[in-house]
Amino acid sequence: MPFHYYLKVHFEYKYKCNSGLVSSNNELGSGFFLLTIDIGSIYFEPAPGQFINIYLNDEYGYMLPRPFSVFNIVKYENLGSAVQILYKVIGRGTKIISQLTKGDRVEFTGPLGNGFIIEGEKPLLIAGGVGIASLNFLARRFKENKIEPKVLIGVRDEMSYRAFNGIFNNLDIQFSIERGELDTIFKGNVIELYSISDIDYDVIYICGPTNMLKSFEEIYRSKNIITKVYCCLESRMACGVGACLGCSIPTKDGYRSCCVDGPVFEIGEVIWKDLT
Amino acid sequence: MERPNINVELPGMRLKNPVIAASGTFGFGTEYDGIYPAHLFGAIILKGTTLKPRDGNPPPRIYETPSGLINSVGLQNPGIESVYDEYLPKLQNLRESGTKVILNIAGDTVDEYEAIASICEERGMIDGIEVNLSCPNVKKGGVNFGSNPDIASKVVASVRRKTTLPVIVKLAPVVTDIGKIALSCQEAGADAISAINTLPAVVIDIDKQKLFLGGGSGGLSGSAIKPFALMQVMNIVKRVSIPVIGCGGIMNSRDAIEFIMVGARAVQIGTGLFVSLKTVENVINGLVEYLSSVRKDNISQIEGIIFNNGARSF
Repeated sequence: MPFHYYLKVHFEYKYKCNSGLVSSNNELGSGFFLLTIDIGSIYFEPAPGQFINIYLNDEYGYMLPRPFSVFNIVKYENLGSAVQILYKVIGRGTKIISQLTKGDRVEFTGPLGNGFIIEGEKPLLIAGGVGIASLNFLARRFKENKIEPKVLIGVRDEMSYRAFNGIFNNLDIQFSIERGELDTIFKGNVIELYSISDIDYDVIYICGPTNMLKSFEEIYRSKNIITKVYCCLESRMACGVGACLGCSIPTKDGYRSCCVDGPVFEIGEVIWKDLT
Repeated sequence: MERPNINVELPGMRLKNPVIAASGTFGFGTEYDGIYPAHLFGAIILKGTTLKPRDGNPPPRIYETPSGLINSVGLQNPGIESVYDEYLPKLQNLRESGTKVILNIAGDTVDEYEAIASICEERGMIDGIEVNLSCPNVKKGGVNFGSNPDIASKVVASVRRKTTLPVIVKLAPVVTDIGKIALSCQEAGADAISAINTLPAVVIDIDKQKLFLGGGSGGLSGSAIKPFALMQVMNIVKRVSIPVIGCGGIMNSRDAIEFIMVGARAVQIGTGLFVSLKTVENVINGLVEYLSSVRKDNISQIEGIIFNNGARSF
């Protein structure tokens, strides 16, 4: 093999195929966890909206890696960094991940996919539940650029609110809560909160469950909103690199893979009625 | 003792190791660059390719089950001409480095298989063809090409007539007598058999009270199907004289060795590639270690060994 070919392979290997040690895996309440993986000083510079695919290495059990948006990158003072994942335990895969403890080795590929295009002076970020993961990282990037994004987060109940409240320092956030009563918090879902809010914005970034995105899209269409909207979608995935074609998203250009063509799509690209 | 030899001989191609990437899990060979180097494999089999581009099935397309994966991708591919124009040129360095490149082909009619085989013969750039028989025959009321020895043999014979490339036939697993179908493929000119393809399967969404997968049904793969795959490989090996490539739930070297012991010459790994980033390395290294530990200097010495030790087919 020619030397330059070796170099290329070696570089890409370093770039996409990583491992690290769990530094913490904190339960925030209501099934939400924040996982911090120390990755040392490897080159790892994800863009907001990109994700990592965490391998469970459970060959006779639940086999597929699980994709998670990057929630944040923590840079340590003494060189090295950590990648953070915000997730909710919903099935066997996330249950296994929730059992990781400090010092466990985690293998993952990434950063994968295409992140958000960062534009605008007055960004509005709309998150449903754990969809805040990718938007938190985006918000930090805006703040580094001296832009203060407005953030709307919809949570299901008081427990979820308490789980989230406190992990988003220094962000301009309004919550909505679907069940229960909390003084000062909007009662309803986050799309309803968006509809009544008078926030001035010039670009929207949105991430959450498919039904939430669909109801946003209905409003977007019926009100003829012309602002650019970037949607971070989710899908069941296997390979994460465009090989298996398992995570197709119906778009105006036909089926496209959530993992390599997304997970971020412009709102007009997606055929929403066919999205499941 | 020297390192045991794990080269294997398939008709028209010698593989540097018996591990082959299964069709549909390794895309068109470059998607995994930087994660799973293709040059680790003895051969890679590209995604099922049809004459014309296909959109594939509506999502959702995959679902995980205990020790299993159900997929319903529906042969999404850009069509044979695009595969030749856009993907195969990128794989020629890989071929020079010693990894064989095999194209998996599929069709709705015998004519379609034949047309693709002609294009392959004319344009080259591959080391062999794998014929996917698990497709509905639209001219015969949608009956699977692989479900009947006569139809299977028609497809294989038509591909054989059009190409001098090695022809491997991938069999559908749920049939009355897989050995008989394999034999008819051999008589029609197949150079090797690969088995098994995925098992038909469905998933139910109890909230929506309907089938979960966009395509309705899908194909089950993963460790869940391995014992069945082993039995079908045994049943084929007993009936044919051409090499058999074993496939179905191989996750590690032990699984691969089991397939070789029931008579497989080489193995395909599909779902196993998703499970770990080291599956291929582990299988190859484990195979070498096993051969050393049982004092065999060539992998061929364990091929079909269960039949020397009293096994019969069922």
